[in-house]
Amino acid sequence: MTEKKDLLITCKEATLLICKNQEKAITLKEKIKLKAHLLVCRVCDLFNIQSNLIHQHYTKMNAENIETYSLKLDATKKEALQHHLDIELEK
Amino acid sequence: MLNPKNWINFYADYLLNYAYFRVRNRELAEDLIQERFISALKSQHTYNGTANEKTWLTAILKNKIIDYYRSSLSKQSKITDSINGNTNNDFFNTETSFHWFEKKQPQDWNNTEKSIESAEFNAALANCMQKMPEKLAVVFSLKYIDDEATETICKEVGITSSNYWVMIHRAKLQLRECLEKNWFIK
Repeated sequence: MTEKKDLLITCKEATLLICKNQEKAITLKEKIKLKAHLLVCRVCDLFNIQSNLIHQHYTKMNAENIETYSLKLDATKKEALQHHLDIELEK
Repeated sequence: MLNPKNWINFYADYLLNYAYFRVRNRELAEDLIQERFISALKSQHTYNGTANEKTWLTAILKNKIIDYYRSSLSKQSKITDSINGNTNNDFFNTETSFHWFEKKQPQDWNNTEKSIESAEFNAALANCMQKMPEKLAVVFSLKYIDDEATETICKEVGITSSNYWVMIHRAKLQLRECLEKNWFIK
């Protein structure tokens, strides 16, 4: 009986295990508990699917080296900085 | 070979974006890259020629950002309070043995036309990253953008492994919710 009870985890625990699973930092026992939870909990199952989607997006972004922002430093600031560096270079 | 004459031209914009994505404050990002160019110049002798110039400059900037994180984290005493156990209970109801609060439950994204593949999604993601509290964004970006090992992050930022998981857990709960509200289901 106690073993059966051990299998049950809360949604809070399940979502934490989902995070650990994504980083492959989950033990076998935890994985079993998570699987069992996901079979009966649609909400956590959705969380699992969606956070995997976000996770994959990051992996892809890193692999393709996508720049998420495209800021430019002002030309005047660049000049000032270049000037500063030139002075340092001459030292 | 390092060629400091070209640094600003070649790398200033790249490094600005790099810093901004992490510290999420333009002025601060600009200050950080300025400081970094100067100190890179002074530490040219440490360049051993194995990495390329861009990688080398990025690595020095990254160290500077980690220093900044560390000092900013140590100033916020509340961090330790909020990562000691009680956190994330705004998503899960303690009175119903930690079921999701109804208004916090993930909604199905399949009924929406919105896709994660579009360019606008990246903007939504960036916005949600901006909304993340700094301490979470720090840990999250080190892991998901810089792909650092968890042990390294804990050591660099000065947190325990269980703090790390609480923070990643929270970051993901918040990020998913934010994307749902601001992108998938508006």
